[in-house]
Amino acid sequence: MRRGPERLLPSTTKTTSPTRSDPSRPQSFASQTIELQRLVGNRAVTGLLQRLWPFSTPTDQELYDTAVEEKGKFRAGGPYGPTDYRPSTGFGGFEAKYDAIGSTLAITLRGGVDFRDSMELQDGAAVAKSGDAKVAAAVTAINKMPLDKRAAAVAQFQWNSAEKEPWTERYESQIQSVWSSKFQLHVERKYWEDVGANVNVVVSVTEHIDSKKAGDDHMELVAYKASPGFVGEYGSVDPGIGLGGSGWGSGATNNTMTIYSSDVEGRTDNSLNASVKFQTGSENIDPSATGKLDMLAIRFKSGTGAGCQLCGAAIPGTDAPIELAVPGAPELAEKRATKIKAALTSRGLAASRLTTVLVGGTGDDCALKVGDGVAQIVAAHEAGHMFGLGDEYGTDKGGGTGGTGGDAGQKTEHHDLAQSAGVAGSVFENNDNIMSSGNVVRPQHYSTFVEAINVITSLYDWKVGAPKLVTSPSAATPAGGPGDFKAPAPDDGTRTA
Amino acid sequence: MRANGPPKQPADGGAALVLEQQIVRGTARPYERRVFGDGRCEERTDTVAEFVDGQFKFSTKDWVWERAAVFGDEAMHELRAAMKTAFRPPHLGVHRPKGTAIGGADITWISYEADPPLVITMRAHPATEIAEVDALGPTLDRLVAVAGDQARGWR
Repeated sequence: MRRGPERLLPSTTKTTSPTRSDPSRPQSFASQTIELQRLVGNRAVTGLLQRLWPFSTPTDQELYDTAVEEKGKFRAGGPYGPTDYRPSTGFGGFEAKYDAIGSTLAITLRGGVDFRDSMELQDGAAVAKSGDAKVAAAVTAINKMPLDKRAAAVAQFQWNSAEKEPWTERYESQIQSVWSSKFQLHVERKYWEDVGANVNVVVSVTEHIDSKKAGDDHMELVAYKASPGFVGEYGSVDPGIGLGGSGWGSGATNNTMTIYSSDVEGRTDNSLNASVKFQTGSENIDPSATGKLDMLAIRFKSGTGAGCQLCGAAIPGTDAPIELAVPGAPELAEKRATKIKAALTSRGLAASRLTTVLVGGTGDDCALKVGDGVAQIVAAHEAGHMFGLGDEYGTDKGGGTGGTGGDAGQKTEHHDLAQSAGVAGSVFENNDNIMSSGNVVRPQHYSTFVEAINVITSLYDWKVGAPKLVTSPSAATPAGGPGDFKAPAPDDGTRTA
Repeated sequence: MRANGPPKQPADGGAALVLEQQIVRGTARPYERRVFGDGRCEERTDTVAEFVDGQFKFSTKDWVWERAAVFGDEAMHELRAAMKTAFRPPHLGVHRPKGTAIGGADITWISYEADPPLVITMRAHPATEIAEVDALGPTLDRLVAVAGDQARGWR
């Protein structure tokens, strides 16, 4: 902006022809300035005036130059952190450290593992230790076996020392794979947009000999042993008392995560996949599927629309696409596709979300796939709670999903943080999001990382999205190229896992 | 905390209830057990487990009450002793997790040994663990197994 110095020249000035031929005539400031401009040029005079006039608004070039200088100091002033941080949502905790030279935000989640058996033998009888209905069913089955066969079956619900290390490694790698490097962050401040961060998530869990967790662990990780493929009744994060933020009393290192050993793999009861039965060889949906269609339509209703209760503005949901794999010979499959789409749209699902794939064959079961259809890794979902994010899954009555979610379309606990991080927001909805029913990390899921980097760098202008090219106003081409941010891959800020 | 309303009594007009356990899940019917004063222990669940070729497989079945065991006097005495330990302050009432949970298994124990009955509810268990209350489950499991073994002549 050049408003300051230019205002020094009154627009109504008529004396635009001062002459050098009359040196005795007193000259106005304006005419002197114009004279100077003739002699040394506009840019030099503008710069001189800006130095002489302290209340002037700096030029773009000055802003750019100042930013370059300040960015240099900022980079030299790092690294920022490491700091243990509990997000303002009030739960979870992790360590954040920003390397300003390498443009890397390291998010570290540490835990002490408390390996627990879900079952044990007491007086030759299997007894449940986890209070889970499926474990109870397994106990019933085991106790019907002859006494000498029970120990081997119970052992599937007990840890042995050889299993522990591979399990902790799997736990760490699965969470890192889901959460790391999904989006970049950048500073949304003029001429700072090339300051960015690649987000590197590191998980480190250890079984301590003397205690359940070390003092700087962010959580005690209670891991109940279950048989392979077991789907437990719960996974949870229980935050202890803490004020939020960083430092003593923040609660960042006062959490308990509880999961089953099988939760480091995809759930075998994947709710993103379902099937609806047609009558044998017919285009008609089997009458027995009516209840299931009702349930699926509720479960996957759009989260878009309800939105903000105060301002009335709609907050977009993910509105995950639903793929219908329709079996049968081409002519039959076409008719079936029409029928199943009509059945779902009549129950409130938008036609634009439905795609059909004619898969041929002779079967009668139509497979539904919501989003990417990949089964959720519960451990990665619970890690999201450790990162301070709330649940996003919908628990609308009739949808068959329980837990601490909410009705589709209502704001989640991290909605406001998401908006502060430059994302549209976050609503409850059943889809393939990591905090809903899948594994996909979307921009709102980095909002607590944005809050943490804001605090540790004291910049408070960080947003989700790739850093941007910054050019000098005086240069036709970028000064010094696109900055020194090391971009690992093209990213428009909307990429998903 | 004491429950509101009258104690639940068996519809068949048999012996009065002594203890009831409910495990309520979001996506399936509750798992329930109840013990009557005459020693009958019944279970209702729609989940059944099979141990086949070294692996557990889970499936569903009808959600109806089934006889789990019949306890003798000794077993009932042991059960009542465990109940005395569990059903006392500060365990009574509803215990909620401080945090956030997915799935959710709410465990409720009801003692009909008092009038009105005593109730303990632990939401999102095991985020709400209470050792003395949690001991009720294994005690019941063991008593059912031993009674079954005795009925089969294995003990």
